[in-house]
Amino acid sequence: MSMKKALLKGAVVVSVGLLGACGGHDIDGAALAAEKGCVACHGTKGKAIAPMYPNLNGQWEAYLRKQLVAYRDGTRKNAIMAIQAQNLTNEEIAALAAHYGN
Amino acid sequence: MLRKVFGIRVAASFCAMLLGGLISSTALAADAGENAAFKHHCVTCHGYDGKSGAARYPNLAGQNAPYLVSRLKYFRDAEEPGNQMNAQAVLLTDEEIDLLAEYFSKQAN
Repeated sequence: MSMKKALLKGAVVVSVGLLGACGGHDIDGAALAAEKGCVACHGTKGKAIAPMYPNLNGQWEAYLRKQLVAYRDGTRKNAIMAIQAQNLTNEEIAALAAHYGN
Repeated sequence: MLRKVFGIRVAASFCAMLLGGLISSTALAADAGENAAFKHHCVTCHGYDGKSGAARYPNLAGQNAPYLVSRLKYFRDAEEPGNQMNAQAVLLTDEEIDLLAEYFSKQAN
């Protein structure tokens, strides 16, 4: 393989890798909130539908992220949220927290 | 001269009335919920008006009161070992929990 070909191949590999890495940040938080059922209790914009559920609007993004992780790993105990959070990936948690939080 | 003095007196008493009104309304606002928020040091992390200064502490301003009640009882019961809030909530009575939840839920979000 010539030097030029090797460089070209390397460039293609790096480009594909970059595209893949960037793709991970493209989760639409609003769409995901609807798909995962968050909106059923927390509303589309974080205003809870009933006072027993927390409002998420105006909350710190980092706080929301931490709570979803805590529900997923069982640190924060709640029967409803444990089921909701159990299959969320870190990327999905980040997207949901960014959608609802500040 | 007399007129000028009179004018100053009127202005001074008007100012005193305004100041008096301000002080009494501030005193009224210092209700039981606010007192409890100070007494139990909630305001240290969650802010005087329920807006916390750091992302590790949740904002409480405008949060639903029933949710805050359930959350404080969760901490009081130490359902989550090691949480910083457990030691804060263990001292609270049901009445204080209601007062605090009401106070923070009424702060502007």
